[in-house]
Amino acid sequence: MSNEDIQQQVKGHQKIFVSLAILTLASAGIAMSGLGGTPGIIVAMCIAFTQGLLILGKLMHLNESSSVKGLLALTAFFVAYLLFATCLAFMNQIEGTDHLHYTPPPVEESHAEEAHEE
Amino acid sequence: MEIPYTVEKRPDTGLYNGKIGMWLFLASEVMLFGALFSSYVLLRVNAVDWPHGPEVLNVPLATVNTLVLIGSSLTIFKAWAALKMNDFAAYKKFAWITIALGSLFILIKLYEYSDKFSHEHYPATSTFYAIYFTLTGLHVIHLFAGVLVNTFHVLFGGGLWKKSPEQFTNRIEVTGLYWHFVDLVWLIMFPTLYLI
Repeated sequence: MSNEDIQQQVKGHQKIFVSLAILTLASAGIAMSGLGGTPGIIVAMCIAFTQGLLILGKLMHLNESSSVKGLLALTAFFVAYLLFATCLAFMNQIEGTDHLHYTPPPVEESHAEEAHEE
Repeated sequence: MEIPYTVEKRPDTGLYNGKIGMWLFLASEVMLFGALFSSYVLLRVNAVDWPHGPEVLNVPLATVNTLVLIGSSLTIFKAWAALKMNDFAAYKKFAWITIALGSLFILIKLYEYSDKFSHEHYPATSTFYAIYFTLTGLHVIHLFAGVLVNTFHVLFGGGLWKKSPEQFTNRIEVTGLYWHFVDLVWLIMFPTLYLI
């Protein structure tokens, strides 16, 4: 690899740095502007995914070896399984452990007054 | 005894041994952080109430920290590029900048922690703070390890550079891979905890 090639790579990395910085500021700006709920989550995750791809593909040179690609594909599979296993907890819940529809028990008035006095 | 494939590529993997070793390590790290992110998802969807990140965490400070970390990824690459161009002095300069940026990230994070503690927000305060301190704490430990390794290379790497410059350059490349990974983890953690 010649010095010119390396300097070209450095210039490429500087562009990646600027892209990552702009995406970070955009992500923070959108969140601070008050975009919440599902749209906020989708936008933030899309930006994070794009940043992840930039780092993996351009900074970590993932495309240079097939053995690394295979290794990471296997890792991605197991991480996806971990997330799927999380979903299993909802598909087969133990009776009486449905936290999604949990309503806190009513606080008795006498207890509430005591707590207020304390 | 000479350790094989420290410089030349191994025919079956297409990489030198240090690099394939680092990728294997990073795969195990993906599993570690993947398990914690799965825990985060499970805790969040099961929670009766979950705070909106910007309301409880300091987003501007975390944004500055993100930019600091992205900057350090660029400087560690420049350190490696300097070695490729046989410029050890430039390598040292960029490595020290990387170490300084990594240390700055840790200091800002510690300030954030002290601010949380001063408001009596501890890991035991709520499920949100439990997963927040676990994820960010583990990340800070990783970054601290990266700072230590880089400091070791800058202080004691001169001997290996004189003896085998290619091997030393490969070590810096592998250290850079780790550093980029720590950066990547933070870029996922930042919106997950602070923004949504």
